[in-house]
Amino acid sequence: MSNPEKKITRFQLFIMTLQSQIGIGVISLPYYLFNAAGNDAWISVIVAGIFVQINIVLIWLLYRRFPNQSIFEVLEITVGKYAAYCLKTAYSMYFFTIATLIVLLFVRLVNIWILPRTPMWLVTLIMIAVCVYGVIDHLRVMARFFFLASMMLFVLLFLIVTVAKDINFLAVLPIGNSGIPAILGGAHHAVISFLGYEVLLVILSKSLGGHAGKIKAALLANGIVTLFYTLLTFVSLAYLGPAVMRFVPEPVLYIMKYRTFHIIERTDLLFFSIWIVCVGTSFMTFLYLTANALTSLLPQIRRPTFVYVIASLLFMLSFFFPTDENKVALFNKIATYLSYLFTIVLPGILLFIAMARGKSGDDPV
Amino acid sequence: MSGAVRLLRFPMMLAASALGFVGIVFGLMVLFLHLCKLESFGTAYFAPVAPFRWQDLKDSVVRMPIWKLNKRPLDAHPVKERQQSLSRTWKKRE
Amino acid sequence: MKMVKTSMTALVSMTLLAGCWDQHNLKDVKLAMATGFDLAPEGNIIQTITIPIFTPGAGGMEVQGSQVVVTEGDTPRDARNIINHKVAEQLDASKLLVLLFGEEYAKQDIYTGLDIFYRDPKSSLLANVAIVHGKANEILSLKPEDRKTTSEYLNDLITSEQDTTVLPKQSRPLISDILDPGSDFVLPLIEPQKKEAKIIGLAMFNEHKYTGQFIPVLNATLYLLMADQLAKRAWIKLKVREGSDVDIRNFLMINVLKSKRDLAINADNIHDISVDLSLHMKIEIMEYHENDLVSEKIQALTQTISDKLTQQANAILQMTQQANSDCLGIGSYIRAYHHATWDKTSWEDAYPDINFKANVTVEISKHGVFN
Repeated sequence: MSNPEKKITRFQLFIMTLQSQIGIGVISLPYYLFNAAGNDAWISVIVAGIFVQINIVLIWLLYRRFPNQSIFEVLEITVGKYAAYCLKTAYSMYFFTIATLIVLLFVRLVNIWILPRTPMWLVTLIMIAVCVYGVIDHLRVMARFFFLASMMLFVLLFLIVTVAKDINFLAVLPIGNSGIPAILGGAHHAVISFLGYEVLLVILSKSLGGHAGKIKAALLANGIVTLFYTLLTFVSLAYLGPAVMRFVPEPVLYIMKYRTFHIIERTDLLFFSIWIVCVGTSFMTFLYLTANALTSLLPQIRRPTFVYVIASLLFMLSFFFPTDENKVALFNKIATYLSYLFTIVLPGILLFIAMARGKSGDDPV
Repeated sequence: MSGAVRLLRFPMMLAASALGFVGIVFGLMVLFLHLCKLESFGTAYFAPVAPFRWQDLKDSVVRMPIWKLNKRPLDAHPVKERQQSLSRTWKKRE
Repeated sequence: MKMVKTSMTALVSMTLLAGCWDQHNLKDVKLAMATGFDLAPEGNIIQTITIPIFTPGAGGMEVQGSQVVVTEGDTPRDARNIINHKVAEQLDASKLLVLLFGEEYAKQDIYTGLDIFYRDPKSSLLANVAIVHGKANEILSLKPEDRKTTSEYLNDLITSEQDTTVLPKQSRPLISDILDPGSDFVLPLIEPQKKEAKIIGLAMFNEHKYTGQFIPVLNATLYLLMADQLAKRAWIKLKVREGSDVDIRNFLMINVLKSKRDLAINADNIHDISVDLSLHMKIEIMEYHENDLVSEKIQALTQTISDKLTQQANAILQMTQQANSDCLGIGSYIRAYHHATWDKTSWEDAYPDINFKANVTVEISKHGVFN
């Protein structure tokens, strides 16, 4: 990289993983899971969280062999130049797809809930402009901002906890009613909300600290995200009840609509506005990853230029964003399958090849 | 800083008029992003909070007692981290 | 350079103007603070709304009474649209305080009237819902004496009664209770009198229809205690001695301080479901006409009160069974803990046949500053 990027600390690694994962999934997660798994949607979240933990361990094992290289350099070392080119392009397209998905879902929700008449491209433009401003400088800036954004999570947690005293436990019992296949099917739908840990592919090599410390930080971050999502799903299920969950695509906002304080009447607007920051951080992560991937492909061009290019491309794509629910669901499904490919299958294969060919971080590129 | 805040009110007002509460959130995001980027003399603007060094926080709001001040804050890029220990001469005399 | 300048100006002004799309100015809308639905003889809907009239006053805009508008339409949204044809500005229901349903309308289906409130992202779900013994029109046309607008009056009426455990507090959206197959709900029942609205009981619902039967307001507090919803105060009037109804000495008034409810449900066999509801209360005597509350008298009184309350509780349970309205939510317990039984039977048919037994025990912990 032409930009000498200083390293981030272990705590910043933890915060970045945490904030990249908590994003668009917060609002619609309980609904999709309920459709797949019924009353036991919250168990599906735990299952998905465990699956992601295993995935993180896999990524860390790959990192351990190549402590100073990010995934893109690892690709070059392991499979050679030409295959690496193809895979790097594939990775950049994958990250771009996820970034587009994030923006699409975000803008769609904004359009339905708070700004119905504002055209979608304008909201996209503002979101992209703000996030581009955060990504063009080096990684440490992003890490500092993510820490500030984590303060927002406490507010979200507080809002959810105030709802929790009115929940009706009976709606979630009996546990295990839906059966294992349904729970696993629900976990499949939950994967999209956990995406964000791919950032580990790149930043594990850019952080200070020992190997053991880093894996602990990453696993802790994912653990907290799993707990948060489980709490969210559980509270939504118990508060609204299974009869209503079918009808409410954004259960968390719906609950907030019903919860009023003496000074704040529309708590759902407050929740929504805080949630914007979480979406922004997830989007920044994926923008950063795409730019990184493209820079490793064409090292002559610097990363900030790529950021501008990707942002403009996204903005132009925003004119063609589908508003049809089926198309969005299809996009969701494609993204989930792609994520399986790029976060488990590819690193697994790379690890296998690296072990088989005996490559490690000391080898020249 | 009050002058800066006074000046910043206007872009925030414009943002609020453009998109309401959402506009304020975006405006604040831009503000905080900009502040995260600022570095004065190599130290981040948000120093003890943003790179979050717990040890540096001990002096930010309330100064800790002198016998606790043993490590220099990293913001000043010290050559030596440990300070020369402050002797408790009043105890020595006893 | 000129190109860049113009495009920058255009960009900045475009961003500034972005807000114009979604502006929602208070001066452009009329707020509907209370709405009432009635069933017209032909089967379509009569909607009555009250709009507060704002006049410029000493401290800004003041409210000076309310304007009542009545329209007829095929669906609630249609009726609201027609109101727009009559009213000076656009109608906006995001600050709704009270939602009333006429008896006839509630008897056919309440869910259709609520759909617009749940679908619109700007609507307020916090409105208090009530049923009117008569026509909603009549209540909304009242001119209250102590409040400026009818909606404020009704809202405060309902809220204050929620605090005295006469009306249930809505902690979850009404729609959860409507659609929940395991429980039914109750709504306040109001009757228009000459100059005020009077709460006469709790209307019992079966799924989404009003059954026509209600729990009278005398028993409403005990019912809410059985549903484990004690609010700040709960006053119950009891007749403890046989005798004529006009003799003051036969009555006493208690205030429930703490209440604990236990449900023991036995549902192994679908045909033999039995529910034991035991309620233990700590009460305070508010009004009692034989003085001298010393220990034997307190013992005797405790027994009398317990018996009377048990009688009343059983009577209430019978009322709910007659109306086929599972207001206490027994169905959801059975669905949670005895899922096999739940699957085998349709709760609608099974509810009137279950064996209900209530048992109330009290403990007199305070009796004021007088013996």
